[in-house]
Amino acid sequence: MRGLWIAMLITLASSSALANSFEAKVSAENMTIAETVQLTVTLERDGNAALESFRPPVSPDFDVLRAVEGAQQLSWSIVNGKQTVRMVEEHVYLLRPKKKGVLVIGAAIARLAGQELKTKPITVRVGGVPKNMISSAGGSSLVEPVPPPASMRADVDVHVEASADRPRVFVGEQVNAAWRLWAASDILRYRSIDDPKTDGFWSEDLTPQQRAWERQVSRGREYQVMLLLQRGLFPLRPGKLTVTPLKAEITTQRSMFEPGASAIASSDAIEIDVRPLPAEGRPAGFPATNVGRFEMKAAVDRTHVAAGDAVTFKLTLSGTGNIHGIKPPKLSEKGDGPDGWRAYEPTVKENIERSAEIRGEKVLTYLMTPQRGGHLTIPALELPFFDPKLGRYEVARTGVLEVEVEGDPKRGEASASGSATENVLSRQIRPLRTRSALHTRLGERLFEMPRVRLALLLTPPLTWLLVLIVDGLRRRLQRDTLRSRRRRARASARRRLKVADYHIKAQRPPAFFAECARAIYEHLEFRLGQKFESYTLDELRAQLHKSGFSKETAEAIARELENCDFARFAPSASGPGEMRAAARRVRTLLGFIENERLAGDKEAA
Amino acid sequence: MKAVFFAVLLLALPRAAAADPLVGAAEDASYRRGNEAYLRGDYPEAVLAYEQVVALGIISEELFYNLGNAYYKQGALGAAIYNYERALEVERSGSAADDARYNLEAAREVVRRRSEDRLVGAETVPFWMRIIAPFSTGNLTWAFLSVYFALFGLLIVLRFISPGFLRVSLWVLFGFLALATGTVSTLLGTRLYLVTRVERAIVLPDTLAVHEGPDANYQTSFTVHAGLHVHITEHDQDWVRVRLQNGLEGWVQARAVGKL
Repeated sequence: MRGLWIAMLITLASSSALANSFEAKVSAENMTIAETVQLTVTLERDGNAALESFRPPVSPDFDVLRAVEGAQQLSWSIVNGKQTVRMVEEHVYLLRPKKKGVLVIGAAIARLAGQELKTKPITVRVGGVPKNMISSAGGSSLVEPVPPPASMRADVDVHVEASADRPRVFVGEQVNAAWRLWAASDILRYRSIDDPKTDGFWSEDLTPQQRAWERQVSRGREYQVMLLLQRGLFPLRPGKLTVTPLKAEITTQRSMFEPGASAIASSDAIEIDVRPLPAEGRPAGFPATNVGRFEMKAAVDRTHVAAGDAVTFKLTLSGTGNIHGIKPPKLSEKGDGPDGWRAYEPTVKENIERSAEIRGEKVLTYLMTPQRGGHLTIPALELPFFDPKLGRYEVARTGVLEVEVEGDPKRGEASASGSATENVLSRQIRPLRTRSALHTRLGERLFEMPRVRLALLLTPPLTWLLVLIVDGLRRRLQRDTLRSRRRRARASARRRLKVADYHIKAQRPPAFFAECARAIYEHLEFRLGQKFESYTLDELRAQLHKSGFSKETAEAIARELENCDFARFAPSASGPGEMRAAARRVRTLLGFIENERLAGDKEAA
Repeated sequence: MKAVFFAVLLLALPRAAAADPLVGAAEDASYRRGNEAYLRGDYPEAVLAYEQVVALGIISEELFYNLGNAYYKQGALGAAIYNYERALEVERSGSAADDARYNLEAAREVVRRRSEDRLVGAETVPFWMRIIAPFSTGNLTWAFLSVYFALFGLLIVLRFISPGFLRVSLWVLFGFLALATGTVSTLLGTRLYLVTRVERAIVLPDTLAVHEGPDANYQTSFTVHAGLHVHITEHDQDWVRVRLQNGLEGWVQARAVGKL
């Protein structure tokens, strides 16, 4: 009767009897998220009045870590010869806030002799955890995680025991595994760290929703024992199969409102020796999941059906074993239904009772349409299974079901309606399209190909940019400036001198000197902006001089042109050496023509 | 005048330059074999031949239409509906689309007579899906390429046109083309999003059990029937999670639905 204490005080007082009072108070109205707060609800009442109900305060913002309900104090007094009994009840709760902010603890409600009493709701301000906080006034500190204990031993004070109800089973036979927590002191909190892994098993959870503590004595010491986890396991293969340990963090209680210490406890692994199913009497293609004890029932929703209508065929498998994994028999070898029927994929419903021995039923509902008229049957079905208790193979069977089909489902819709003289044309599909050759739709996938998509999207803008650039260059080249004229003149002179070189190699002096003369005339035209071919040498000299050429340059130009004229009309006088010397002179002259500073240049500058 | 002619030519050039090509000899032979098998009533052989052509990546409304017919004749209404829908996805107008629409309705009518899926609380088709419903991806692609190429072609032409009435007219034409390019590219982008991101599918078997999880051993949540439109929301090996128009969800084998 821990937490309940009754003290009786007998006092003599001269004061008159007090009225009923019902109030709630907290140990602190300001706290941090890491702290706990103690809520005390006190009801003082007439001891002779019956307490009809008591509802503790409710708050969704707090976890109730601990509750000590209804500690009572009785006082007895005689006033003016009249005896009075007063009862004081205290309900104490240890609360931990779930979040920060202004949190409200709701009212507690008590019903006393037909009268409803309520406490006032309490507001608590919950703040964050300041750095280096150890504890704060009013609330007791509860810092996560709980520090490791100095005194608690996980192997002695608290431990987790793993057990299996049998060490040796057949493949597919149920074995139950359980994990129990043994604790020598009160457990405040339990948290699973590693759940056991059941590789090689089909596992069903059998843990009861309501867990209870039991007292048991082990090695002379009293423990409280609680079932943590229970599983029904169905081995899927033979051999030694292992279920890994369960590991948990357990926190014990030090005092009424404070956590004590925590420890990590781990169970042992469970080893199950799984035997293969016996070969003797095993049907061909027997599925290892059909282990247990089963029954099978079959039914149809109607035994008379019109052609074209469907029948619902229900196959129910029930019994003890792995209901979820059981493989139902096939309706036919081909898989599309028994002879004369077409069966569609069934709907499956399971109803499993998860107790120490897993049992239940699996219902498969097939929609089946008759493929011909008349008397049709759904043949008997067989479900072979292995009964581990008997240690032999058994077979569950259904009976043959009979269905009468009116009409012939194969008759066409057009002929199914209308009289003999009436040509009724019901809706049919339009015929095949074979008129044109087959094309593939390129556009459907054009943008699904990343490279093609990129090329298509980039081509137009890039083309446009290219046109802009080329056109810009072309326009720039076409502009008539001094530089462009010089560029054109140089290009022309280079071209002519190159041709002249060919003439040297070909031993054609007239042609060579003609090219040289043209190169000089063209360069003069570029430099002075007028043609000089029609000028006599004297006129040319005068004009060049007048244009600003030095006397020496003008003389050299005139002399070279005279030399060219002479050589053109007396070719036998000019050998290759003479022509090469002339070419060198012409190149020098062209340089002079280009670089001579003229009066016009100064004005332009 | 010459410039206007050039602009019109640019508009028609992409479609003319990249007309839908004929299929290869092997595909054509399989297609013809399918047609012949269909016409002599050997529908399984016809389905096999057509499916071979489809497996080679040929996209043709006529191929899908004929395949739908072959499935219909075999009694596989879900597959027939699926292929008629595919034919309509490729081409929304013209005689082939008209035939596909007619046969699709015929197949749906037969399915309705057998069993109809009535979706309680089904949501309406989103507005953006209804907007692009009349257009196929191919047609939108060509329309976009036409206006897009023409837009830049016109820009190039404008570079060489001297100021005057013609140049002003061409700039006005350019404005219209830019507007058309923006509109068509939005439609095409939406269409491509629908095709590539929204996984739409059609139920193929006459009756299909939809399970709680991606395994046949899981419990059946509900059943649906051939031709029902679903959306695929998740994949798990050879299972897919499907969502009906009313938000109902469950798992079916991937081969039990045909992806549009």
